[in-house]
Amino acid sequence: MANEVKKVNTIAIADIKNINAITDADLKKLNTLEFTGTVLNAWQGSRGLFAGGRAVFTRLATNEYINIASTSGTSDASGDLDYARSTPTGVSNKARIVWGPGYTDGSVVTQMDYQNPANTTACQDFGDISVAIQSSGGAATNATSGNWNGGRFAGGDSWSNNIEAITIASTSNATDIGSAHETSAEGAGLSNATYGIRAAGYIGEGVVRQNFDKWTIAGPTGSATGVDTGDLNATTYWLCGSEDDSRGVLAGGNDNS
Amino acid sequence: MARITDIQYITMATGTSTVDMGTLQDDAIEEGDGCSNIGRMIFSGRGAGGNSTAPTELRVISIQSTNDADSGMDLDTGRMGAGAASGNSS
Repeated sequence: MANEVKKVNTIAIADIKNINAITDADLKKLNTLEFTGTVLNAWQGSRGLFAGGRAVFTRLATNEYINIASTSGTSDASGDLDYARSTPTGVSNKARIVWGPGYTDGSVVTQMDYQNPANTTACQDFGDISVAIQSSGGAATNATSGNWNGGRFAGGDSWSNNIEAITIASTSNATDIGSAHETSAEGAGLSNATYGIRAAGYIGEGVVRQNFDKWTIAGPTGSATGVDTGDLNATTYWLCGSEDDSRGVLAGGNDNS
Repeated sequence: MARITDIQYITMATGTSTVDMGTLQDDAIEEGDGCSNIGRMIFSGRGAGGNSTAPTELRVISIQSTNDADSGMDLDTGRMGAGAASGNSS
């Protein structure tokens, strides 16, 4: 069964919520074309959160949220991080987002923080990543488990190939459950219900990754091994990534040229 | 250290395809992250202002089409290197 309807009057089908008041859950065909509807990933919801980062050189503890479907307006304050940090890649089960490790002024933040995206309650301590990394290669989730691939060790000139795992619903330290195909940091993480993909990344001046590292997402008692499955169009790091149920999109970044 | 404008996608089920979706129209973005709901990826990051400007602008890509644009939304606090994720609103 496949969705044969891609657009209606140039509007992508994923952007259409109702057709003549009928939702995609009730619509079966459109002019004889099969319509199977659009699928929301189990780790994604209507609210988008942006956590931490840096305002030029000062690391931020503040988080903000937007309504992803909105087309105007300014973000609202969400719950703050327990510790300010940059590059805290996140994993979610819709009701809880866990923010990963990061870098703050002069030191690594190994603590992961968690929050309920629906309210403004401050983040709480989830537990620690098992190695002191100041940025990951990318995070992935299936809504039950959260994984972080690779990372840049404290000090900034060596890199991890760990795949770190948590159960999103249960606070605990992360567990190293296996090895990425190779070390990398500051790539982009993509998820589907089965796989995580780390796209590209950085391992030192002049050495930038181009490949995809794909692994089966697992919890702390599982295991994972990254496999090189292909290449992005160019060596890239610091790129933006996210996904729907079929595509992972990668945008921008730096080619280190 | 060149910011790039490429937008690519891969098919999640295979993780092998790399397909050109176009280019970022307004400004190349680096040191950013994105979050999605059905069909829309919203992302932040730093652009032409480089390391001296923490931008508030949020951008949007329609995941199943080939364009990007200013989302019309802004962050209250300018930032680069933020993490992004999505979840429930209630």
